[in-house]
Amino acid sequence: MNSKTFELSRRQMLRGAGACISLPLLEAMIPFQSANAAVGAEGQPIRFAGFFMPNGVAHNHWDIKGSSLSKLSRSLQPLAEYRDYVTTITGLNNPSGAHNLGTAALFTGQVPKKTPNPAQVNVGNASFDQIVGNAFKANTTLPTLELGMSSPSKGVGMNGATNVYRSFVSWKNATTPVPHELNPKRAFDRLFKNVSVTSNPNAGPSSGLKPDSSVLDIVLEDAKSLQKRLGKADQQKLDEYLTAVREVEERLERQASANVNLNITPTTLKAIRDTEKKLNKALGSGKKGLSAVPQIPYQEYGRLMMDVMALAFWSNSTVASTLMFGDGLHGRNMSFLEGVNGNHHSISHHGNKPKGLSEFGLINQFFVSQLAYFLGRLESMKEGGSNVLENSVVMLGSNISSGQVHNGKNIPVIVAGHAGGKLRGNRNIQAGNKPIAHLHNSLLSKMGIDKRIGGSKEKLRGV
Amino acid sequence: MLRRFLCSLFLVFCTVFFAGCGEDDSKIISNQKPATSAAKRTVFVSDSTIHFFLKTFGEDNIAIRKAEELSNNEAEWKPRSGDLARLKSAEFIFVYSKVNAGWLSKIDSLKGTVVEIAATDSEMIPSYDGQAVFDPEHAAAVAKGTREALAKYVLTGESQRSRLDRFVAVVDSRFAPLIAKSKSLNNRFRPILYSSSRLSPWIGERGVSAKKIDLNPKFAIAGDVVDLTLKQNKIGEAKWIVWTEEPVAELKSSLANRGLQSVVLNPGVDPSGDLKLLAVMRANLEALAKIYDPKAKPGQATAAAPKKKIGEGDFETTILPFLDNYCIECHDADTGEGEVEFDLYSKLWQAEKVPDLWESAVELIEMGEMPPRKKDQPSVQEKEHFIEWTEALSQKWDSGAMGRDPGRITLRRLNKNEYNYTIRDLFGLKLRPADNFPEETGGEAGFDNNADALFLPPLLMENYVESAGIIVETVYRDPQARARYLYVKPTKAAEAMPAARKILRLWASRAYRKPVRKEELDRLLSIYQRSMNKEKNFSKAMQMPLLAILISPNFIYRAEDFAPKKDVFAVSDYDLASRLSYFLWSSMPDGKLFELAHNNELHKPAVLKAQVERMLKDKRSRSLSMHFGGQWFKWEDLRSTIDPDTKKFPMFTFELRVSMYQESSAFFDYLLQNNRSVLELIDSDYAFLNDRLARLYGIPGVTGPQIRKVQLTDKNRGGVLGMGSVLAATSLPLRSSPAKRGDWVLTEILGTPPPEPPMNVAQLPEDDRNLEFKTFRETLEAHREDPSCAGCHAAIDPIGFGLENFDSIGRWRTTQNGATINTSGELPDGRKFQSPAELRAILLEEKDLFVRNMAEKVLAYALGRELTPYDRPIIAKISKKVAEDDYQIHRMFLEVVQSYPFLNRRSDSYKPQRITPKK
Repeated sequence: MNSKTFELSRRQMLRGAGACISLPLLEAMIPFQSANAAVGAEGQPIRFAGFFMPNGVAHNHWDIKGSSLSKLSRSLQPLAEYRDYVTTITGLNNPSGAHNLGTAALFTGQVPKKTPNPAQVNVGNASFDQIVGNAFKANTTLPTLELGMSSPSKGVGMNGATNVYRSFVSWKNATTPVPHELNPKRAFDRLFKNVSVTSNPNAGPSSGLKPDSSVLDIVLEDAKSLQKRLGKADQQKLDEYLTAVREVEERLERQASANVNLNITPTTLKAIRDTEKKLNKALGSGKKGLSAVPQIPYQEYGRLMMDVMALAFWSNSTVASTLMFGDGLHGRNMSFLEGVNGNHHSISHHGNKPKGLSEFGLINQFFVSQLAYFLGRLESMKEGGSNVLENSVVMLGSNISSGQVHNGKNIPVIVAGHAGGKLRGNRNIQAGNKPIAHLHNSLLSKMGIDKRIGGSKEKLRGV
Repeated sequence: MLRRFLCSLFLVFCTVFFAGCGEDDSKIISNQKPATSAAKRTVFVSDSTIHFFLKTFGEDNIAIRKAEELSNNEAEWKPRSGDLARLKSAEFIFVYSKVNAGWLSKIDSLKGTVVEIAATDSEMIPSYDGQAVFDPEHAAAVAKGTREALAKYVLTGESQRSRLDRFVAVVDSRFAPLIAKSKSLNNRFRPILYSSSRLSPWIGERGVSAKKIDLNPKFAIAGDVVDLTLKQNKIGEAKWIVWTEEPVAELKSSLANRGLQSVVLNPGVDPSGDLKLLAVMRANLEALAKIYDPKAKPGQATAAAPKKKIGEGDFETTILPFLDNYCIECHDADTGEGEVEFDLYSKLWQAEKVPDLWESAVELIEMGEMPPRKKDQPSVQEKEHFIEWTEALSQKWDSGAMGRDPGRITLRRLNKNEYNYTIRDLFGLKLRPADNFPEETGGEAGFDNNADALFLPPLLMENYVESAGIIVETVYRDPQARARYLYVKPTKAAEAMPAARKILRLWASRAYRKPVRKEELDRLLSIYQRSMNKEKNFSKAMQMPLLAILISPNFIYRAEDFAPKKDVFAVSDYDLASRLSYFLWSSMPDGKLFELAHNNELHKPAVLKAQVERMLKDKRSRSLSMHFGGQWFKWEDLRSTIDPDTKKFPMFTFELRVSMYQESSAFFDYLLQNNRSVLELIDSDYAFLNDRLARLYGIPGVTGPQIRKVQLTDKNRGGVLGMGSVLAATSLPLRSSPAKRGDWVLTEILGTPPPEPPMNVAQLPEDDRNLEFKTFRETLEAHREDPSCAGCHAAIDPIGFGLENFDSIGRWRTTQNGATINTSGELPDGRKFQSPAELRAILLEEKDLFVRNMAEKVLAYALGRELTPYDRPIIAKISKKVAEDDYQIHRMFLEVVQSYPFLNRRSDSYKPQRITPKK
């Protein structure tokens, strides 16, 4: 069942448009390598998936005792099958612990600057996923893939922090949030447009005219001459444009330079096509135009998102991805769950009453079951002698500890995957009141990335 | 039960005293006065002493009866003869329960008005078993009577001012928000909140400033002295410590050595249950009397310092000490509670920049929310000074005296909608390429055209690049669009370059919305030339430059011309054309606007006015209905967060969702197309419906799926408050939410948002099936006991109750779980209503607030930035003009367009100059 990793130039990929990619074409096989990247047992890249579960947890249904996962708590039951891949960590702190700031702080590890003004947002450093993506970008179609299931919020939240904070967990740098894709089909198209066309030559829109480098050069010149005519603050605003254009240019060059190590085999290609069919079935119907968020059942919606994430990893299109199950003040109706009646945020204010805690525990359990689904997908995806879950780091965390008490002390954290053998599972680590950044730093180190975030060099002991 | 009655009676008389003898409170503590009014003394009291000040306060003036003397039969209650005289002479008689109101009403020749007021807070009513005595339902019910009386009193005129202050002083914290919000009462009265922690203002009135620390008299001496040392800064120049229990002798002497004398008050909690109140109070009074200088002459305190009006300049002498004493502990750079850091303001020039900050501080102080109940409380006078100072500052801003500033608009990227519409109008193509772009965020005002919130991450750039490619291909595939683009056709090689120049000059100028610069055109031509050399085909070679135009920052951003040497300058006519078109159409200017800009005529007032009117009537102004209206009133949330439970509401289909969106935007559109009154947003006798909506709303005679104007006979429907979109946006998935709806009305209609709720609020039932009580209103009222919630919710919830006839998807209902829904309630200023229709009629009376709020929304949307204090005189002027012009909606948009910030721009370094008023 061993699959092979192939190097496939973008031109070859494009040439495939309209015709199935036949196997003989896929012969070049170069193991995935990056100057500073850690690789899995057989040269596979280590991927990172970050999940944001809003509103904290009911700790009485979540926390577990002991140093192993032999006795899983009620909310963590869905992990039973993947125990050996999973480490739970208690005693880690989100540096902010509020709906808005805590969301932005989860993967950046620092307290964001509290401001109502989106122009002044600052989260201290880039988020974990962006750092991973950046380290491995040379070998990917898309260095990072950001997915979300709630529209960004406008306005200002409690405590005078802009809702930009609660809308995004991925941050390009300290001041630029990375928007997420709400529609799994569009995410899929971004990743596999060129591949998927092969399965149905008439499907999909034209991919359009591509700019050549001279076009990008002159728009950069336009920007520079425009900058000279602007005031200082606007000059800085236009820097975003310059950075973005350069990055797009880089990406186009990379895709054209035949260095992308896409893993396209009959097996992965079949999975890509099956996923496309699944997406078309779920999202293809005509209900368009109004909804920013796809109108499909929440559980199915999340699973489609995770299908795309898993495929992105397996095909080596992306090495780092985040999925926000909701925004930082997630108020989706969760009554579809047996035993739950109400919306996520309201129920998170359980007032420490048993009924409320029980409902909240069930909601948390639902998110864990979604995570388990993702772990199952990765485990089923074989590569080399192992599977993608072996070669991944999956992390789930929250903006606050418990919905009732808004602070960041002891937020729920799950780490899964073996990071190519560098992480063990079936453990429950007592971190003992440490910032989440320590975990990030440990994991960065395991992934072979020589960067530290969260304003700290420290790592978490025992990971 | 008996205790409860006793408590009620006790307070009845206590408050009668206030009403009847309020103008002379010098008798309160016998004749003891501070030595001089200037020399304040500091008294320390611990938490539990507070009741006794209350009790003592009344002891000399009121009769107190022991519980035993009351009958258990309420009907037999009657006042004693001594009390009767006092009651008869009182102008207003405050009672705390219906029971008392009942027997009072039987007394003949009662001159005063009997007013029931609610006790809110356990501390207002001394309790003898530690249990709070509080009846929230009753409290809510009697609130309106109080306000009616207040309103009457107001009508008696300014001469009563001093009494009115006293009058309001006995109002409890429940009414504070109502008074603060009330148009007629606000600015004229200072509600002095009266509950346990309001002890210090009471003392403050007597020229003594009280601070509170918690010390345990029985605790280890050393420890407490250390503790005391730590609290030394709070002690300051205090001479007295008030204990509720005799401190151990060593501690007492240790304190005495430090010059601190102890006064012990009886806490009054009598474990035996024998209520020897009178004795307790006497003892306390004696103890308290020690605090005052017995040699002082009577009357000195009331004759204290003539009132000096605090002006804006008194910041450092008056306001700064207030901040230091009561605020800075939590609101400094280190703690920064609520994103408020008062240590940023140590000089007037710093403080006066942020009038909004002081205004919200005043609001919270007036509502009794700040300083927190458990912290030191400012005196009445200190509060008044704070308020006066803030008012002086606000007045200065509103008058425009602080100077003129058009504000700074950040370089604005086209947002999703603007990009879609611009492409539509640029090429005449039915393309919506930006639908696939990531969703936009938004700024503080809640609009997604706020330049500061329009980031450009690489993903979006990728979208722009990809979409540009698709647009070019689509233009080339569409024969008409292609012909429009390649409108000059070279017939020989020598004509190619001039043709390319001509085409690109036109299209770049249109796309950039101003004449393309020479160097920009040259760059585009260089791309054309490269392409031509390669392709040898003119048409093909013209693709790449078009692509470049669509990726250029000149297209993606709206860069306005800059006048580097000038502080403030009028925007150029081309930039004005874009400001207009993106404001009213969310799209690029059309030919007419370009023409007027080219001729430098657009800025002329008459031309501008005609253009605004033309543009508002143009169908492109639908963008205002959808995006401005939708983001203001939240019907855009139908696209995302509105999430009714599909099992409970199976009729809430996608089609219904779309119909609701269409209903709302068609309504706004109708106002624009017909220049209707903006007040129709609050109340209208028509709605825009199709069969689906009409069925939902129970309106007969509407068939077919198309949305059309329907005349309404039911006065409860109509305006935005009768729209399914708004009603659903203010509901939870499984029930309507009176609190959300009340908050929505206060925020989006009146522009007076209530303070933010505390973080750790308790959960209310999520579903209105299986409630404690049959209706959600009853359930909610039962949950409002928490005094930290009750204050604000008394202002929020009643409005929501008035909309309870609408369920969470906008259907009409009169019962909930079989019980009749009570939709009566009242607004903060006491006007009451019985139905949604009556609520709407009352909101209509608040048109000044509504119009002001709308002016703020429209201006923020027009400018794509948050408003600043410099915009305050602008808002005032727009509101006034709109009111003068019968509230016509066109006037609103026209005034915004003609406003100073819309027509001008400034340099980054510009500092507004104060304007000295002409004498």
